[in-house]
Amino acid sequence: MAEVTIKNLELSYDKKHDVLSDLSMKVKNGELVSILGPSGCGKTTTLRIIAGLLKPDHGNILVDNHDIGRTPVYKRDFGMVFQSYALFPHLTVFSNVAFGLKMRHLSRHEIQNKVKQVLEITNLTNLAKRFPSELSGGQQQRVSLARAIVVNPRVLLMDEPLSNLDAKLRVEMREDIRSIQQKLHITTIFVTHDQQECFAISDHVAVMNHGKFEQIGTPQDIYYHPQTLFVAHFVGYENFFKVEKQIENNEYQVNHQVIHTDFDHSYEPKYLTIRPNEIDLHQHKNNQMNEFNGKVVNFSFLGGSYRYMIQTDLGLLQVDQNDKDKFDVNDSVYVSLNSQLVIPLLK
Amino acid sequence: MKKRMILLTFPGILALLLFVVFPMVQIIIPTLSGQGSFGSLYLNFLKDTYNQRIILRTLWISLLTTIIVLIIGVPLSLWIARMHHRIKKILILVILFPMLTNQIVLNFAWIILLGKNGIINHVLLSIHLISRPLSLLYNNTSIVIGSVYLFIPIMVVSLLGSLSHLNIEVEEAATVLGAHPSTTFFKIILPQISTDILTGVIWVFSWTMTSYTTPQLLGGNDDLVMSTLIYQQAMTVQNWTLASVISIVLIIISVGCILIIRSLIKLLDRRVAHA
Ligand SMILES: Nc1ncnc2c1ncn2[C@@H]1O[C@H](COP(=O)(O)OP(=O)(O)OP(=O)(O)O)[C@@H](O)[C@H]1O
Ligand SMILES: [Mg+2]
Repeated sequence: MAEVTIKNLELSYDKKHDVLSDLSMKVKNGELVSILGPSGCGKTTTLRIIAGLLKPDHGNILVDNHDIGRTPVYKRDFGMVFQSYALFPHLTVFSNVAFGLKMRHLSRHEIQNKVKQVLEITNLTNLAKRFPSELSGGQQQRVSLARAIVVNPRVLLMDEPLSNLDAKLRVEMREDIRSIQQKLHITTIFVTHDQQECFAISDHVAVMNHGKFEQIGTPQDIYYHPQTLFVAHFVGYENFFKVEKQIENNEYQVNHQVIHTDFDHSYEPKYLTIRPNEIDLHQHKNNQMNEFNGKVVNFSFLGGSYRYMIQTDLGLLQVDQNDKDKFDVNDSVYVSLNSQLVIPLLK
Repeated sequence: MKKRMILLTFPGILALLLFVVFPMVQIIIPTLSGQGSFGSLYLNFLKDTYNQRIILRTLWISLLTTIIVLIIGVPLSLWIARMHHRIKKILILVILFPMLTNQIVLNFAWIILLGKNGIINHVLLSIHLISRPLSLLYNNTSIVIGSVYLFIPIMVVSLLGSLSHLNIEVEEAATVLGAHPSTTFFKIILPQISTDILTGVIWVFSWTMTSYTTPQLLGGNDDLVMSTLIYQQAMTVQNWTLASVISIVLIIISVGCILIIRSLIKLLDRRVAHA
């Protein structure tokens, strides 16, 4: 149980290119915060700095308002699930999980009980006597998870702990992580590049790009109100319109056309965006706001819906429709953009 | 198929018989009976307190050398393994240097360093740490020093390979879980390289037991070890049979020690694995 504050972290491996720049975030007591970002954006680097395995060039890590920069790693009482699992190859599953408890000088009896309990949660009970080399990737990942949570750490750091599990187990394990985390009230930082996973279990999500947090907010915030092009793209927005100028309070000129947005905002947007499934496609002109003429270029099946590419005066639009019978390639169509769902982006 | 395999191995087996087994038998047979009853030569040799002292001295020097090589060699290899690869290459070259040079030359260097008028005594005297020169040369100390210097590269070489392949994140995982760096060293790093350490220990121990140049050049005339005793019997006294007896005793003791070391480390390994 602790509150973690990251303050202005900066790091460069080669003293030339910044891997992290001015990274700040606060994780409240008992919260689960996800760091979401593409490969190579600096997620692992950030976790390693928080754990103390890497010294930042600038910035501080505070736990309950104490700077822990000088606290050695082994005294921090953190838990960490490594991306590469990092299991002890010479120890059995049981001894791997028991290691942290031994370091905390628990009695043999207590260790037995706790390890048993956590092995049950992680479905590893009948593998307890195996060595890591005798386990599948997913099983190793679960051992690494068990080893980190069994010590009930002050702060739990998880680096893509579910990446190697199949879809079903992945959902099961993330529910388990969430329930353990909430039951024990462990402050947790969870790294992933799977947005569904992170939305499902996080209190807050920090979207990371090129060593910076683009946006920090609740999953709903990130999903419905992305603030930047990058975040919008990452959470499934596909249609982006570069704003040429503001015409009226809520009207912007895009490609010599006018788009109206009813999304409440106080900043001057650089782009407007809308999800493919929030654009309406119809055959006849309805004379609505944000209605444009276009032509079907092609379509493809996404599973559950069809994605149409429509050439319009706004540019090429991606539109999702539930059935494909209505329109064919080269059909003339009208698209209308729900003005409530046109999101203005800051950058 | 099987017949052909046996046929193919025939030249190899013949060579082994001719060049290894036959000479061994040649050495052993005369030592078995000699003038007295069966094995009397061995009994007489082992009963002599002078010889006993030489055997113990040989064992003691080998043990001490192995332990010192271990204490210096393991951290040294770990340190080198964790260096930037460019510095690593240079360090490996420096460490391997004694292996590339003639043993006699190396031992003469130690004579210059350790002698009564040698550099070490000279320095110690001039900074008034001692008032009379220490006798560092021609005794057990100098043999151990020379052997350690000679065999550290062997330990480093046998460890470096597996150390470079250790996953550092495994050690980091231990540290995050609350292990002090020394605990990580003993409970995480050492068990992972214990078989390579064992290999190194066996090399160093058996080579020290049987090495001749270093004790001959750096040891005193009153401080014979088994290999120099063999030389003395064979070349000075011309008693080839006794030299053979000592050789056989040396081989048996070496092999016995190696077996003991192996089972000791296996035991230790198992205990660490279940710790
Ligand atoms: N030891 C290192 N030396 C030099 N550069 C490094 C080192 N470790 C990582 N980097 C670089 O720093 C950047 C961030 O790496 P990091 O491992 O933090 O990414 P990540 O977000 O965890 O990616 P992934 O999702 O693929 O695990 C990358 O561009 C990577 O190439
Ligand atoms: Mg990573």
